Amino acid sequence: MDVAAIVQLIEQHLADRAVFIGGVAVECYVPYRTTHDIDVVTRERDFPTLKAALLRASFSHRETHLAKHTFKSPAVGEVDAYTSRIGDVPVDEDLMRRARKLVYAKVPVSVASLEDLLRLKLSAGREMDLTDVAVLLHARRNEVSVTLAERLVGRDVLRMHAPRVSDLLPQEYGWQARRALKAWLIDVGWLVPRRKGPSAP
Amino acid sequence: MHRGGDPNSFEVPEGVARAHPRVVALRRAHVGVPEGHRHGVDPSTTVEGVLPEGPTQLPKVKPRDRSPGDPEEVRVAGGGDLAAPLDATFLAMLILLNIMLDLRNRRRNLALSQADLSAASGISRTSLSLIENGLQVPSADTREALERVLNPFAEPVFLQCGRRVAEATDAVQAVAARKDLPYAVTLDVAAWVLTKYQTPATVWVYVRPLAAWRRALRAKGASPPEDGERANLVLLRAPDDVLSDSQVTQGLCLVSMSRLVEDSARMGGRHGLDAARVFVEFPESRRPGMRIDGHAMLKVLEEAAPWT
Repeated sequence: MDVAAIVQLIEQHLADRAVFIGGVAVECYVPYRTTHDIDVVTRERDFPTLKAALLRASFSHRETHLAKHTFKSPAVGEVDAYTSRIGDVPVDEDLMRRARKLVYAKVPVSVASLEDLLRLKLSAGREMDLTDVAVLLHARRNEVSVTLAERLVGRDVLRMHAPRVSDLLPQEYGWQARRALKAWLIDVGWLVPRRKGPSAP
Repeated sequence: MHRGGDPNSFEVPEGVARAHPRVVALRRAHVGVPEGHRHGVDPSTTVEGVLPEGPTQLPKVKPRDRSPGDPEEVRVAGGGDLAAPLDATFLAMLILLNIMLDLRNRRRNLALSQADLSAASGISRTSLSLIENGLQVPSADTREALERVLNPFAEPVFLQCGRRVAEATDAVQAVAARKDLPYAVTLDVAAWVLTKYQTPATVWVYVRPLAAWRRALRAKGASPPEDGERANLVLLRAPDDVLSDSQVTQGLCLVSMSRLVEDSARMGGRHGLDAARVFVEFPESRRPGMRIDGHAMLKVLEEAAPWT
């Protein structure tokens, strides 16, 4: 059983009641690099269904201190399920409602909206997450609702991370892509253009 | 004497500045220190000091007892025990020696003659010879031009070969087998082959000679990516030690594990996870002084930890 098979299993049991975040969601928007762990959000009332499905598929379960449920299987990998909050971000009905139906390994799945993904990734703030943000914005920036992103994330947070995000677009995208991303970030007001200092007399 | 605000720099005392009128500010104190690399001087330390430019004639300094306020001394801040008074001339000599040896070693490591380096960097052969022999201090522009040639990651060749990573990898193997050209795969694919942890997106490969590889791959259908498109194959000029330390794993020639960790850590972003995973999984990859992203290490350790 691989990641695709586990995603399919969750989708079969919960359909739209499970919303994928993390690597699976990023992969749905833009194929890049992902690890083998799966992050999924469900409502508290749907969690027993998810748990039963994963236990039947030989996963073992543990609730961690991070308000997440971890399912591990030595042969398969890891599934992290969130029902109340994801780090600092609360799991609410709006997140579930905004989810989009996209295709992962030929299976239609519910994934978090671009704006919610930005919020989750920026809230984590690790270099790998900011790289994902850069890749997402490079490929899908025309689909991002700037107003919604600012409401969810906060303009200050966006402005704080924007300089690193534009620098973290992977090198293989080329300098033109990096420049275009910077220009867009400046355009939406998340990146302040660097002023040249006064020229020497 | 410390300059206010920046603990990693020191101010040139007046007396020294008078003795050496040509004051050179050096950032990243020697030629070709790539961002995040550790050859000799720690590049995170900014050194600004006095350095004789042009043919070096270092004044003789009479040893004597000195007090910290002595104008003929400089103090490098932020160095713990190293913050002892250093003689400016001695420091200048060290920097010059570092530049000289580093340039020569790195050039030879890439199997470049002075003529090759001169042609590729646009720096005259005479200047190169003077720098390598410690008779001239390169300007910032010269150092930048040399770095573009000597750092394998400074000017990579981006290509698209098919749509998927597997196709690009096959093309590399086919060219190597047919033309008998050396190569060593690093970053995404090398980490994937060893750990199966993070899916690869791009084939990064050290090759030699770069021009022959480019020609051969173009003949196999590889082409520069369109604007904004991601390259799935990147060629890097291979230094000697990368090729000599390479190892064949699952039919692919990979860089050594320690090189893989260093390359991945230095590239940052998602490569940091590869660095952490290889570091944790393969003890033989570990070398003193490696720096790995803490968040990446935490994630890898958390996933690798057994249930308790």
